[in-house]
Amino acid sequence: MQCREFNKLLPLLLNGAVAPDSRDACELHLDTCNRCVEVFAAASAAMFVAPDPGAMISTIMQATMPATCATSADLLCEALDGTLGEPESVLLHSHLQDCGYCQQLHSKLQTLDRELPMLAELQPPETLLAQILHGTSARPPPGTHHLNPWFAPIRRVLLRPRFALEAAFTATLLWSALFGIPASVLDTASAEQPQVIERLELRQFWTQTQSGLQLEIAELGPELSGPVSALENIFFDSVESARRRGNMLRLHLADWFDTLLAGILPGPI
Amino acid sequence: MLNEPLDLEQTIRQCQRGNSLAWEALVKHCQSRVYGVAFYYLRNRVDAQEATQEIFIKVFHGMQGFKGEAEDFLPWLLAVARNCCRDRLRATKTRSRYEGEYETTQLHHPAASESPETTVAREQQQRILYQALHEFSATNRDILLLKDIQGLKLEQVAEILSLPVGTVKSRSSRARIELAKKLADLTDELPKTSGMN
Repeated sequence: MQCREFNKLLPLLLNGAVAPDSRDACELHLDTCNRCVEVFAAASAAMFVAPDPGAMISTIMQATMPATCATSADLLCEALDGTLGEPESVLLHSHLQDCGYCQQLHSKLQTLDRELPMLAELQPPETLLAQILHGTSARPPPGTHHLNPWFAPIRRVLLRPRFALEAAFTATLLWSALFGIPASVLDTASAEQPQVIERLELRQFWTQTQSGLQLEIAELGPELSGPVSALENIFFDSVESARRRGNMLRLHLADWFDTLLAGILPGPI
Repeated sequence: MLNEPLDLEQTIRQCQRGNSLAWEALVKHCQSRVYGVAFYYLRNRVDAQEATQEIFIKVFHGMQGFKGEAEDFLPWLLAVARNCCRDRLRATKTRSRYEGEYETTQLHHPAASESPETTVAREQQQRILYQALHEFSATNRDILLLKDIQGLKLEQVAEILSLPVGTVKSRSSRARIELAKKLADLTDELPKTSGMN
């Protein structure tokens, strides 16, 4: 191969577009021609142009691992929380040097870190404190007692459901052993044991007694001597009835009526 | 504010013994924080004020049940506040009251040196921030409130919300990034991503 032929094939050789036979001939010529070697070296240097490093990296990353910025964003949050390890911190800073998007995101996250805590406390209205204290300090907190340091542990034990159940069971056993099974409330023959009147019975007794008394007084008018006797009889009957039934509450109520009549009716009873 | 020199441990114990002065000091110490939580959920000052009273009444009645240390008090207080506000939000009759814009006028007393224009700009910025926060799901909104606004630790937030710590951490990161993008979109601050999925 002559130098003139080599110069014609030089552009194809540099672009890698020369045929294999021609490439072999060019290489043989370069082995023997120093002048063509220098020409080839100069031409090769002129062809190489270094691309923009940032753009090249970006292109490479998009083609290989496109989620780099997503990973970087997660690491940014950890860095701001102070929980990012040293190796990841180095990698993150390396990424931030070339990524404008992540740099801006970092800046925005730092701004949020300053602005969000400002929402934690707000100035309340001036009347709020007084309203709260009025609603709470009017009575002492529940469970407080001047003996609280001593009473609180005992109270906690007493309020345990298991303790209450066991106490009720034990009390029932003791009562049954000492007093037997209590008689029925409707058993009026057991006059020795006073029984608690049902609320309905008390209300009925009150209504009957009151209405009966009002009728008596309405009928009597100014003539009280006869009516006094009649009223006395009514309440004596009530008292006797209560005593027979062993009903202590009725007895007390009858006593109360007696006292009331003594106050409003003249003359000895 | 909680960074004032108040011996929180002693104050709490005194409150539990029925000391009214200690209770008053505790209310003063915490009312701005509780009011902030109530406003975050309820959006207006009137409802936030009512909710704050309700929250402190619940705290008052629940003080005997608080057995933790001073560092556990704030998470407990915020949990009570959050639950109370969520109960209000669930009430169907009043739900519509909490759908409007945030009333961010005069939330903070302006500094003496602050100009009216600066005050208006700051209130506008706060309104944008509140609105952006309210676009998140309920759980993410709670996480942002407890962790990024109120400054609780991951473990404390996880306990209040009954979530794993890892879930809280990942949700918090994603929510913050999303919030940063929301706010940046409003001002076109962020350039096009170079490699973001």
